[in-house]
Amino acid sequence: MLFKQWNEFVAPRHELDSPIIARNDDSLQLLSLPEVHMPETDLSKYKNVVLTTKIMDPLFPSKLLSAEKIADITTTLKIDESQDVGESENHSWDYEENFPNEVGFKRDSNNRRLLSFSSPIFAFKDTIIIMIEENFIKMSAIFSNVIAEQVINHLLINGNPDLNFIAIGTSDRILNIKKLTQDHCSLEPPEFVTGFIGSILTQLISKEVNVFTGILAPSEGPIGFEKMTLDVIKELIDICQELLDIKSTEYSVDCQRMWRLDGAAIGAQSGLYI
Amino acid sequence: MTVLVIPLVSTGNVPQLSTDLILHTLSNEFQFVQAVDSTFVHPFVGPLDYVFGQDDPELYKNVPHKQYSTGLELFHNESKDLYVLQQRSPVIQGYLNNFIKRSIVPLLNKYGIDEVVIVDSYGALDEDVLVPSSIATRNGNPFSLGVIDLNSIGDMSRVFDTSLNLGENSNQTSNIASTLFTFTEQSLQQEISTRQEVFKFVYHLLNSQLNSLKTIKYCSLFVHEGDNSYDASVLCEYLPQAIDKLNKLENLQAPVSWKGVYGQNPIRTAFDEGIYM
Repeated sequence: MLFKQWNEFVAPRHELDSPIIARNDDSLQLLSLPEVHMPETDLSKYKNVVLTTKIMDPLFPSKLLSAEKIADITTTLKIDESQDVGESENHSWDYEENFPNEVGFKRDSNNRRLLSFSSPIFAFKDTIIIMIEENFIKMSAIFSNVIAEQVINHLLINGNPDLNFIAIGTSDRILNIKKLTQDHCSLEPPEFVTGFIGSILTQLISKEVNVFTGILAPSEGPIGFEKMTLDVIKELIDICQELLDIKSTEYSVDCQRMWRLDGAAIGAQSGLYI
Repeated sequence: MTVLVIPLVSTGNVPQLSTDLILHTLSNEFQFVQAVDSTFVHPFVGPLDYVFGQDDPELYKNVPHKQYSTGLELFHNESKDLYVLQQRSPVIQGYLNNFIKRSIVPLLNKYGIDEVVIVDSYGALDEDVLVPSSIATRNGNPFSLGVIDLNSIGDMSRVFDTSLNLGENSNQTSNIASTLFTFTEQSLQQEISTRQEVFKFVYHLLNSQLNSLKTIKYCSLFVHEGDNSYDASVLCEYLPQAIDKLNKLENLQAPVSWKGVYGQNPIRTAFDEGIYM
């Protein structure tokens, strides 16, 4: 993903300039909701669940942790033809033209437009990791809300009764790392959190989950493409190591190496030109 | 008569800011009631808001265990039998109908709301709002107030039977709502268009068989985008015209969250190392 300075369209002013998934401005009909399919895998043996976004992927080096993918959560939104966005529709952002690899709509046999996302569930030792690939260009906030609701419902019903919920995310409204728990909010007005982690925390709070921990790191940039400073990343690695009781001395080095590889940490890592 | 105030997320967030002023100025009268289903609004979790100088967030004193605010919260003023909804994030694009039908209508049923007051704001660039183009006709009044009086269920269907007279001439569609609300003579707006959010609110409220609902009021303020904190206090001056139970507010109190709203945030540093990936 590259935000080129010579792109011809105007960069989004706000995250609300998200892609138009259905043209129902004039409609009085309800729009269908995404359907979430949770796997039937037995999750009750795990004691911790980490709920996070793809940007935090380097915190979980799969080889070092011996983490394995155990299932997928699939989410699909079907949009009827009558509410479909026309192909020739003029958007302030023409996503398909500028990011052909980012937006990939499909159609079913009834010519309904399908928006489908798959999110992996990884497991290592007594911990499962549910990682959503947020992307403000193609993923409407409705997906965050619905996935969060279904995932938390599923874990509360089918998970370990003493399951420890850990949500790790970012916010561009805070200046240092914040730890949130069910009985202590370290945010100060006007700080807040949105995105998938906002959806997860909303569910944990509204369902009055007994034990949860939220780790919020300060970031900049649009949802799905957040950037963090090296100091924040180092601190985040230490917190994660302690939270998940990871003993390996290699962990910190491995995480930082992966972060550099992902290009998520340092803005000018590859220089001015690509 | 039980009244519910609904602020629309609109130009300059003026209705939300005014709601903040009402709630925090009268924080000794209002109490938190419940978090409303926020499936259809952008995710939001924040701390409890309060007025500078308060030891504890006074609005939430009846729920001492509460630590977080979410996207939609309902407050109640028992002495005035006035409910106020605070919406802290916008409705997700495409889901406005779902939001009204699934999140708002159940509230009206649950609390037996008799009167709904929808608060809106708009600016010169809002093409969907029908206002006189000439400044001279605006007469210096930025406020508008319209009322739908529903004395019986029959009236509800009659309103829509006559109003939704969607003729062959498409121009009629933009004006059909002119018979929906009766605006005061001093109002800047004298009609609403079907493209305004309030039209969808009215449609769903009238078609949801709400037995207790007797009146729908719509009020709006003409604003300019920018620092809208002043507009919020102006709207508060006009609101008693729409909300009978609300007296003129003295010594408006803004919550501490406002301190970060208008360009007072610290400069970010993560991009110091370059803006290119």
